[in-house]
Amino acid sequence: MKKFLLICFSFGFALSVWAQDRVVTGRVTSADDGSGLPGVNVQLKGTTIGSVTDADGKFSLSVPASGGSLIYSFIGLGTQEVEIGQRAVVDVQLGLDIKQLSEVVVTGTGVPTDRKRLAIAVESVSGDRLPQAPTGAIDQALVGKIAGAQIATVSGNPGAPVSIQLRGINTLGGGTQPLIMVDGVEMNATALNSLDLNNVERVEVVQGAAASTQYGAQGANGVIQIFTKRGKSGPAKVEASFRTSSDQLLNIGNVHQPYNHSFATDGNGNIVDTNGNILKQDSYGDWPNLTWQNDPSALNNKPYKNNTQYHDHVKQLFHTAKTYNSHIGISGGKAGSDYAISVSNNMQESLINGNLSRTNLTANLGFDITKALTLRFINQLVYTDNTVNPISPPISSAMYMYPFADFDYKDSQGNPLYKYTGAGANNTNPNYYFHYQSFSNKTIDIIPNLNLHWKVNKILELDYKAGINYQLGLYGRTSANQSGNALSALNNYFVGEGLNGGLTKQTTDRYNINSLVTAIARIDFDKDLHLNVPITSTTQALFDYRSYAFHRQYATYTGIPLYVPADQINGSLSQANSVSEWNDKFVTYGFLVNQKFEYKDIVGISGGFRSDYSSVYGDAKTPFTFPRGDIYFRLSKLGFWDRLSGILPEFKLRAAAGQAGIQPVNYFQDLAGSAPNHFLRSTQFLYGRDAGGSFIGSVPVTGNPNLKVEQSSEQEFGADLGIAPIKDGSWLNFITASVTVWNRTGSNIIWQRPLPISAGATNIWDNYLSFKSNGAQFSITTDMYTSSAINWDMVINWGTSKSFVDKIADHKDIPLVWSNAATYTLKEGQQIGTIYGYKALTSVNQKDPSGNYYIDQTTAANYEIVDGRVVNSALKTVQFTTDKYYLGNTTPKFNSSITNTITYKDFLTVAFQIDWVSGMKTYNQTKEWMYSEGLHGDYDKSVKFKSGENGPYTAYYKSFYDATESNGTKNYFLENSSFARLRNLSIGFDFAKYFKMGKVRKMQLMLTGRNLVTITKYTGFDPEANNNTSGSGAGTGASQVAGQRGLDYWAFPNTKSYQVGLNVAF
Amino acid sequence: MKIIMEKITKIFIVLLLMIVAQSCHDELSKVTNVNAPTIAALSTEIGLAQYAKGGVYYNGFGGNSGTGPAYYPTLDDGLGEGMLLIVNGLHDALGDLIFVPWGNNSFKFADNPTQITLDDNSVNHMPVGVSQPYELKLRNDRAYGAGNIMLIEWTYMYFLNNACNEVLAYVDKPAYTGSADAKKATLKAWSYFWKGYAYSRIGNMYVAGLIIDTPGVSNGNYVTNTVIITEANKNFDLAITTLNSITDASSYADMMGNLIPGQSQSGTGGVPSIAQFIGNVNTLKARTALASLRVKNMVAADWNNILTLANTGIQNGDPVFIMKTTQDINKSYIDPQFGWSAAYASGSGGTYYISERLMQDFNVNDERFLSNIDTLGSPVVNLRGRGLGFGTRWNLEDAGGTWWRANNTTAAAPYVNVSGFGVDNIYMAGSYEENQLMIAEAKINTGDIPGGLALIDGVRAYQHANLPALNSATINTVPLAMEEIRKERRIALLFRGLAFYDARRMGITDDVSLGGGRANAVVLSADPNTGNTIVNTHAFINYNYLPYFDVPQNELDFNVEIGSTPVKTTILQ
Repeated sequence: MKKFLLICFSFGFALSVWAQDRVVTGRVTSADDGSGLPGVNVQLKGTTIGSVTDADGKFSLSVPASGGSLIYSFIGLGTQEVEIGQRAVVDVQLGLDIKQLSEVVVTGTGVPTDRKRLAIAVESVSGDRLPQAPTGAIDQALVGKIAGAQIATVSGNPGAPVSIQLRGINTLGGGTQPLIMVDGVEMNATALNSLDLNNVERVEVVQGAAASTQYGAQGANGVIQIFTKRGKSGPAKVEASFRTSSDQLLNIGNVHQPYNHSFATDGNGNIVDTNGNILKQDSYGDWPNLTWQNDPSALNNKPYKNNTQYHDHVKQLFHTAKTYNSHIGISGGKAGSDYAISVSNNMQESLINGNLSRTNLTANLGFDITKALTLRFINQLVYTDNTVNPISPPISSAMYMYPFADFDYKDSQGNPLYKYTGAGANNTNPNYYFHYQSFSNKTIDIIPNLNLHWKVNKILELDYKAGINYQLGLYGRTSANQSGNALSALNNYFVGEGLNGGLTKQTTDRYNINSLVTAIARIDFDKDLHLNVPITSTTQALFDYRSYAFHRQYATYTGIPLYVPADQINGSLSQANSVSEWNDKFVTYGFLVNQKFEYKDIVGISGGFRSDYSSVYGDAKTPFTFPRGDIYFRLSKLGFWDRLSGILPEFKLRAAAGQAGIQPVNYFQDLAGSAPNHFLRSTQFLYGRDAGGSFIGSVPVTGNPNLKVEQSSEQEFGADLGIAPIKDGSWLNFITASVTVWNRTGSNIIWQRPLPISAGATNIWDNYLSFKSNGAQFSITTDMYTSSAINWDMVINWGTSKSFVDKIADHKDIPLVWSNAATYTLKEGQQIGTIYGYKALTSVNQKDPSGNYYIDQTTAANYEIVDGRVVNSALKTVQFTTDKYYLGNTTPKFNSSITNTITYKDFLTVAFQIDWVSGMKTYNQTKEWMYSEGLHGDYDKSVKFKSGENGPYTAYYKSFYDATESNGTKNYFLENSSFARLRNLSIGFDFAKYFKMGKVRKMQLMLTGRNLVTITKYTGFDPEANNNTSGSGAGTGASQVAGQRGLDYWAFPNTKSYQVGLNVAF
Repeated sequence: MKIIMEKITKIFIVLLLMIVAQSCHDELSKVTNVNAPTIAALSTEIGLAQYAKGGVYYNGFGGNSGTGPAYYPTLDDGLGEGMLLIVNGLHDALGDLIFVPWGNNSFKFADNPTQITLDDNSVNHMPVGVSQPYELKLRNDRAYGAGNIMLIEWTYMYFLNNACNEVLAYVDKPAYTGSADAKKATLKAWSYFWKGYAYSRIGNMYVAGLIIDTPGVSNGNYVTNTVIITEANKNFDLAITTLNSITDASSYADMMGNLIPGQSQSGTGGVPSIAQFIGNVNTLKARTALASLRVKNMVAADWNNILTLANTGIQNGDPVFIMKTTQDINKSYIDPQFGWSAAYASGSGGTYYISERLMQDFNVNDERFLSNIDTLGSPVVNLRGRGLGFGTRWNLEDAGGTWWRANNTTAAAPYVNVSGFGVDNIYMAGSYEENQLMIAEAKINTGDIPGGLALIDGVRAYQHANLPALNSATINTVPLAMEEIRKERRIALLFRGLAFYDARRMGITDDVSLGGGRANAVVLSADPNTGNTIVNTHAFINYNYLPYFDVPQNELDFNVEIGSTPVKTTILQ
């Protein structure tokens, strides 16, 4: 459609024109919406006589006095041949040539390339194919849309990023986040989920080094490129949409606390305290200590009653939330200029506390300065105001409190209590946080982007792109003075800086600058050099400069006067402060040279390299060079194929190989949170302050001046097919399919290599490991059914990948331990994501690796098998191995997605998307923690023993947590989290079309459901929610965890949403 | 013609790119870390002094509380970090002054007795796991991360040693103001003292250790803890010799003033004179010797050595090495609210809990008890089902209990003032009371029981215990007097990280088969029927704790042993 043409027009073609006998004029318009199509090639058949349409789609051509046919062609559109006859005006309409793998992509290719001539796998999805997710976020809309990619919404916390992993794991430190580009320029400071989904024209994705060498030392994780919408020539068009949704907690596994308990009670079933008195809140409202009976005879079967009623903490914590989206855009164009301006707002409430409001303003303006020189300026402005606690939504404390404690309880002064002493071990009250603490996180993002394109002559084009992505983040946390809270004052309980309250203020500004000069020379050996061979040459030379800076100032103020309301204070009313500042910076630049030869449209071969310098690696002097090459071969264009072309009209084989890199980086925690650190080459000391002045200290991790860039080398092989299974009729007219297999090695992976502690440091930054990964992906687009009234198409995306640790420099295992959570271990030869731990014994005569019985065989009679596990009959405890074994891997076997879109006439649209993630495991650390103190609903379930005893034995469930290693990693908690999810279901009815409203082009009522149905065996809240991302989504760089994917550690579940929306266009 | 044109264009572009690239090249080398100093700072007088300070107070003793950034991420298991929080907490928990029932850093295994026999003769095993030695050895593996508690003290002490090695390596580089010799000697003595301290702690906690005198490198020559203790004494002696060589006392004082943080120069802290510094060294020498020996094996020469050292140790009023908190977290080496073990033990429902076995050691009306201890509204019993050792009726009050608040003009000061920033003297090394009690113990064991009892009385008076003098007529045997030493050391030196040394050298933490354990212990249990708390007063606790930790596997994995010194004990279960 025209949107592709507009891009390509800027790179356009021009043909020599010779004077002829008469002039034919005409206008080429889009079959889609009737707008003029610029840049269309109009050629007199059998000659070199031709012209190109202007911005309004008009052309004029001198042709011989009589006869002849005009061929209208443009990559991406169906070619039309029209006889001129005696006409002086020949207008035509061109439609999208969906049957010919036709589309133009630029990501990974540098030069706009017709998909037919593509030698690499480039996934693309147009904006109108992205679902209107309630969050209005691009990253969420991409879930299931990119074949081969593992994209998952791992958190329901507003503003949280999705987890993105394109083709396996290439790095440990930098995470799996791909390079994000917007209209040809890198965007690094702004989070992907801050961009306006309404503005997306198209998204292109290249997933690995074979396709991303173009991006050099930034490209190894792949590239996601967003193209923003442009205006079309013609009168102004206005589009607006308004949507609202109701979002509910997804609790697929029905996670809840047990309805019964096994606390010590009196004869009337009242829970008693450790003094033997009936348990009741003291004068402060605090709960005294009680006795949790967990001896072998204890049964979790006593009901909550009287003083100690059951409070459903899931319901007390999570509420139904709302989101609102509104968008209005105006676009249009005249000859030589176009514009598209829009403004959107998205407001999301958290299921727990706080809300996020994001406003986007975008302007996309294009001008033809001269016929050969075009200028485009795109500016996006984003303002986000987020009052959600970005770090730690209090899920753990909520689920950790005994159910008799009421979060909503207020003491005699109307204050919530910080914690309830007897009500469990980690028992802080979420409502205390909400009452005394507030968050304010205001972010301003600007993403200006300038593109100057000069077609120097018919051979050479020069292109200059520059963008500055700047983000200013103002973060504040106010913790009120809590000394007026009686229980807090008594026990020095507080949240924030201290009992007397405090303020945390943080200003973060970061930017990245990207400046790219590209020269493209295209030579047709026949036309330009008159060599009479049908070979074309495309040469690309590029210089790419990037600069990144991160700067943060942080201050805390302690002590807030009691007489000032917490929301009306700043640091000037506070007593003490501490400050810190951090600057991170790195600069890199590189050259790319690439040469491509094509023989007709049958074979293309290209090769090139990119060479990068960086302040981060190679001692800032030595460049790293990444080679690449690719080839395609369209068998279907050869003569012998004619017999096949009826059923298989398009068949292309392709192969590509390339290298790309990842910059050495570390994300560290300081008082203010996570920050990037690119200064890994030099050992720094720590500088601190004390009451006497300053001090210098050693840091535990040593720098390494010899650090190299992380390199990823990849080969991919693929085929692109066009299949026409059934020629006549309505069913299965055409199928396009694309399949790719790939393998890759990652070398020089940077990690902290352990040192002997006695040498005074724990680790040194080093190129320490190498990885291997491989995978496959396919994408199938099918015209399921086509008739005059009904159009049904289906898209299937599928992908699989595995990543392995190939070598570790000292061959030692690398345990990845993350604050009391499951043990992931990197071992040579093992798949990344592997979890090691203890296995429940399944037989009493099981032996350990050295051949000894786990259970003393003379006592074997004391054990029995319950639910397939060995249990000590007297103690009711499940027995686990004392050795750690391979328990499984959290990587899914495959990710797949099926999207169906059915339209009835032009007014009714039904679409649904089903995602299926298969063979995935998740370590349910949330469940393990809830097992620790009898707080998981499983405790209500009866267990049967051979003695005839049958009941909910507390000791039985407790033993899953305690056995061998309390909270140790155990196979019981590594669960199958495969799931199929009805990701999206939408029904649209267009009143404008139905009632033929004329000037109103669209008035569509959309009903959308998201995550309505999930099928899974996973017993947690949500099989998709886990800790694959860290941080709050500020910036695009830091948030993806590479080595410890698939951990549910108080993960924030997603929502089930019902959305109603109205889309209007005129 | 076209080809030529194209060539020219290409050449032009390449030239242009090269020019741009060259200009960028300069920019690359200008990207520097402005956030922190580099090693160049150590070649200046003030830089080296600041490092000599930071190497001790930050690298050796500092730490966060779990709310701030991790100093050493490898040691952070969610409780917080720091010698004064985790390691001193561990020592006091092993000595049963406090208990820590949490899984973080494997505390719940570290301070969990193997067996407790209650008044009704019911035998209660460690409810989860086998025994402390078994569980801690199981966890001496990198896969446990900071859950390997054997890793913690080793790391702090070798980082402290390394910082001192760094200072010694750089001491000749700066140009000094004033007397260079005196300042160099001060820096050297400072470094030797803290190296001696590090070796003293390693030798008194681990079965083997390493002697490392070069910064940034290690070796695989593991030596026994006896050799490490000798190395500690060697460094202490070097500190004394070096201090004795100083002639310019004012340059010494200038330098010492820079080595001790401002906040640590108040309370019982301060800038010691040369003689006072030597006193501090001697107290540490006495402690090192005492901690390394079993009381039952000590002979007169051992006691006389202790006596000699302690007699030249810290005198009343001498400044000692302490940590202090500041209200501004940015200027405090430890978290002002939770940065040391006493802070974590205060307040009801704290992270550390006061042990019943400490409480039963207080004499009636000891004002240190009255000033600090209140009862919990309801006792904590067998917390989370993790063991009967994890129970208490008592609560350490922040800033003193209700009794103290009513009587605070004369009574003993609170042990801890969490929100009274800078009030507490948080001892890093020796103290006057410790020195006096060592003299007392040596006297008792060398025939002067009344002299020893008088010194105990002196310490009690110093701490405003307001107790009657011990009666040397009734406390007239060494065992009776040693029982007073045992109790007084627990109470007077609470939260100073010495309790495990005492429990070990007195044989209490040994397995019952070796004569260990504690009889007549107060232990809380729950009535299985009513849930009522039963206060057992004649319980027997078989602690069965490892006398010495193994060398952490984190060290052994990357520093393979060259010789054959046992780096792990062979005690099983």
